[in-house]
Amino acid sequence: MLNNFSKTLQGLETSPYPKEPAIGEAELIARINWLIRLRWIAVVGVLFIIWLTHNVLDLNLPILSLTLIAIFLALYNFCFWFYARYFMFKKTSAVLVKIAGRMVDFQIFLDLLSLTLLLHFSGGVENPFIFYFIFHMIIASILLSARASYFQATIATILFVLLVTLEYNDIIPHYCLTRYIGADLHKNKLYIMGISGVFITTIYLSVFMATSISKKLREKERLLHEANNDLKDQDRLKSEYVLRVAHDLKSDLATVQSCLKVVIEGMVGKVNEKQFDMIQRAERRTFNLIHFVKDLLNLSRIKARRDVQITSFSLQELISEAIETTHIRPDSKNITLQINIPPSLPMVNADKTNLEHLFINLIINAVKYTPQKGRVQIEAEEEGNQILVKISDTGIGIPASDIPKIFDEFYRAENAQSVEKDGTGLGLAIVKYIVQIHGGKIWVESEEGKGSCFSFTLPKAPAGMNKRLFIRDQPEHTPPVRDSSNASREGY
Amino acid sequence: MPTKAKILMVDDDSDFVEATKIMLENKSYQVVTACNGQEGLEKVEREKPDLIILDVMMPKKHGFEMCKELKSNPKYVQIPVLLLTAVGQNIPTSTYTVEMGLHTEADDYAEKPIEIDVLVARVEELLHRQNHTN
Repeated sequence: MLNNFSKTLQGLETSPYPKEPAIGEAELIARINWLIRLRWIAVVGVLFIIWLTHNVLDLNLPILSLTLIAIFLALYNFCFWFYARYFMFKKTSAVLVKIAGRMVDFQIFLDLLSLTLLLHFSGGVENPFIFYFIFHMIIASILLSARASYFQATIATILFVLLVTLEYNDIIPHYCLTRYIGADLHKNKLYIMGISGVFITTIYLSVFMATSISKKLREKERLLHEANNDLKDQDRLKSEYVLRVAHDLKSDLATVQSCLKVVIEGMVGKVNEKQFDMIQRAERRTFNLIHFVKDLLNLSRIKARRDVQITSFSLQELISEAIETTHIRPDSKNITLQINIPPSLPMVNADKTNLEHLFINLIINAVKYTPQKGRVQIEAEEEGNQILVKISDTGIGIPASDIPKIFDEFYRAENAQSVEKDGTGLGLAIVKYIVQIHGGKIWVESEEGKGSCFSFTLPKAPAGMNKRLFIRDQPEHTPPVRDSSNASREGY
Repeated sequence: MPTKAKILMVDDDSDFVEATKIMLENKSYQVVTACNGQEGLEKVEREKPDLIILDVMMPKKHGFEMCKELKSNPKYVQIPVLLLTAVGQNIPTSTYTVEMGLHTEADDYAEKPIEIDVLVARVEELLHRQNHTN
């Protein structure tokens, strides 16, 4: 066994989990969506200013051209939104990162072009809005690399210089803001040079500042991410270690139990009453220990997120199966078991084995801690994109002081100990982790002496979604025949 | 009680083998044992068992490997194999994985510890299925 153990520890050193990329795909998409949202605001802003200058300030501007540019802005924003919404998530992560970078590049370029065109039709160098180029520089510095940001700064500078020079030399017409600025500033060489100097330095300085800040932030983010991954790895390592110890304990305990059973069943001759009693005590303790080890194994397995396989299935069927496999018979205590699940309830998206385990644990608990002639009720309903399940009983309840600790590992409420002395205190911890790996929440409401109600949420299967998807890339597998004898014996 | 089927039990845990052997013999099965996969294959040849109860983690030749060899041999492919192991369905091991278990095409799979009544029921079911196909 020792040899076996050291072998397995070696195996634990390499984590099977890949490191996550520094910027997650979800975050990339979120950033692109942010840019798209900002642009919708810009479109509204542009249209508002056009209206304001025309109707309130009474400046004589080419309204049609300006409106067309605003429409162009809205149009390409719609295209980007549409692409991001319906096509982008289909790409693999490596391709997605590449596309997202290029997309942001292209979007900012189009923005700079639109702004230059808007400026051209609204006074060129005379228009104070030229400094809005700074916003694009800051956005570029946040979303892109430092190199790409400086590249965008250069494009902004070229567009600006081109606009000013072409208007100065009368190569393109100048739309004068006559009522706003008296003199023809676009012909004033000194003014143009001054404003260009300030403009260009502002552009480059803002890129410099924004990129150095984002660089520091990204570095910090990366370090945090690494630290977080290290912690996760260590926690997983710990869980796998416990898994291993528990497994080795279990094989030996199984043998001890079998040997004792042989004596108890009288298969190796008769023992006297006193001997029989002692052996029976030993067997009972071994049985309890096996239960404890099994719970520990289950807990570690769930914490290590082993073999989580998400499928869509009906909750009603799962609960019926779970009740069938438990050997607990509510009717033996005259307990009424009610299941109220509307037939219209959508399927859940979860790991079937774990979920069955969850229901078995909670139902066994409810029946165990409910006195004769009580009632246990299971309800489920749709709530947004989740399914809310409630398992309530008319049992002994949980003392208020125990409620905050009830889901902790190894914790048992005082009144529960008086019902059953040998519980492991792991059952509800297992339940909590199962709910958590599905991204759900679990809570309990209880009044001592009156009953408890455990509520938890599970993800709803999306309509029309692929029936099978996996949390991790894992080959699909099921053992030749399911070991149903086990389920019934997993308890508290 | 008439003598029932002959069962070959392959497991390196001699204590577990001894206890289970007594239990199965008590239920009138004839039991032969082997302590690793290699010896197991030799016993299959010599004893011609009706059913094999196979452990997974064993020295020399582990259960999955032995099962694979049995199932690829037309002479033995008919013999039902019950994998009985403390390596549960979800237990990760560096040396033995569930995938290997799947490729073995074992006829049934149970976890230690197992109640004698459950074991007997499984054995009976496998033997019944076997007779039925013949």
